[in-house]
Amino acid sequence: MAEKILFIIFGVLAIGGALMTITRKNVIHGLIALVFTFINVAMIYLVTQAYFLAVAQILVYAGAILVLFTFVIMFLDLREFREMEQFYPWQKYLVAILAPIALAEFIAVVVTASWIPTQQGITPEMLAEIGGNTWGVGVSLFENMLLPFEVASLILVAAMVGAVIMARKETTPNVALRAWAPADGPQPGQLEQEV
Amino acid sequence: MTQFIFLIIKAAIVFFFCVGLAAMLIWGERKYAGWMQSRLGPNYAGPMGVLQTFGDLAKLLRKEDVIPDTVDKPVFRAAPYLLWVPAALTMAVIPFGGMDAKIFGWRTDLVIANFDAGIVLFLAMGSLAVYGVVFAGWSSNSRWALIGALRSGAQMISYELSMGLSLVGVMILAGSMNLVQIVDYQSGAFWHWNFIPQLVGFVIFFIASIAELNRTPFDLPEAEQELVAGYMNEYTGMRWGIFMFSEYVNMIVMSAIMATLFFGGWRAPFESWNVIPGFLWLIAKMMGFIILYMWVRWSVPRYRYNQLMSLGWKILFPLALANLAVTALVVTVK
Repeated sequence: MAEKILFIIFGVLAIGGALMTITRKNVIHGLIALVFTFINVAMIYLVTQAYFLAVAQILVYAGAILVLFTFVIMFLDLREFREMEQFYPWQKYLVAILAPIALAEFIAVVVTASWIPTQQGITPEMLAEIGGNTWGVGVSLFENMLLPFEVASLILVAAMVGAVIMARKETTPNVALRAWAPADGPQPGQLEQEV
Repeated sequence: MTQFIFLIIKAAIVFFFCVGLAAMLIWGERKYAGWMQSRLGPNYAGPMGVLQTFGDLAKLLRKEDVIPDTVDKPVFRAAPYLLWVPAALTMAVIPFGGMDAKIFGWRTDLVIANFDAGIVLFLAMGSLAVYGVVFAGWSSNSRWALIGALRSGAQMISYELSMGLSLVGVMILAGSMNLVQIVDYQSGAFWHWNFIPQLVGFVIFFIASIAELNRTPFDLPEAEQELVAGYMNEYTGMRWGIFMFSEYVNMIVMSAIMATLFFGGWRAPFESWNVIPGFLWLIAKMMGFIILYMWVRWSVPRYRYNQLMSLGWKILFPLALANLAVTALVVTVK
């Protein structure tokens, strides 16, 4: 009973946070709401006794990915984006088509998952038998699901290499970064090649 | 039901202990700095100036809480708390005595939460502390504050990596992420403690923790000469006081984690010394680390930013990886 009440509280808070995320004009406020949502999702994991998953959720999503988002947003010029409400004019029609499809998929997954009998909840006795929550996650990741896990890590490495290559620019030595310059050489703000 | 009441009592004791110790540490650090620099430090309020922090606290509480017009008000107000509340949560998983201990005829575990993924909780809470700094800097709408926040964020993210990896060696040795089980693994006299097989891990963790705490020699986010006060530039009164205070709470948490993971937690250095209650040993070890932090702060000059980054990425990170590989190899072969 207590679990149900807590689940409803954190669920409502998570949905509230998600709504805040998409309705805030200020990007940073939206980001804070997203952090709040992720923490509440972690709390739902805690209620269902998935301790490792809960802290991993906070560590990876709230702690790592959203910190990256924060940095990206802070380096962007926000005033430019405030006037730009949509990236493309046909955006809202695309959303009108895609959102119902995503919702239908979501409902289909939830309904079909309840048909399969093995998808029932995990009791504390089951956890004790495995040897704790963290141990259970480790065994299922590195023994039962080793191949998918390795494939996922390979995909992540490929994505990382791709990101590094895309972000890398051919740099020219730039004296603008120097604090001072000799009087006869290139001045700050000027490329060395221009001289 | 009695267990629930015990839980609340334990949580309250640990929380107020942390808060009280943090207040005393602010005085302690000033006194220590005075001693290091051949001056007196605070010496007016109370014997040896022990009441100095409380006087400062009263002053800060009475000061006007200036919130500039152009700041982002809700974020600006919330940011100081984000810095220390997550860190203080870590104290919940630190054992300060044996399991199922007997206290005044009642039986209880001397830990708030016997949590299965304690180390990951500590790392997760550490990663949330970045928000306090970054949001404080961003919401201030000031150049100094923003530069300080970005520096701090980049520094904390860089050193979090080495910090997390340096702890994996301990996890492998103990075969668990539960701090209670890690302390159990280190049972016995001091040569059973983790700091001997994991000396490299301990040193990496200690250096990385100084960077996480934004203390000298890694206090670039608040380098006075360049950034005035960094991310806490626009803060006044008690909100500034909370930033000051949170540094010490974070220091207490880091010391407790180091004592627990590498120095046997609440266990005495010799079996026969266990007649002294475990929490006193834990406090003694924590105080040792806190003095070490202060010692480092008042004797090492600040690093340059590129030195900081190259230390983190080119020395500590590969060293932590090597430590992890060697530990895993030794444990597997044995």
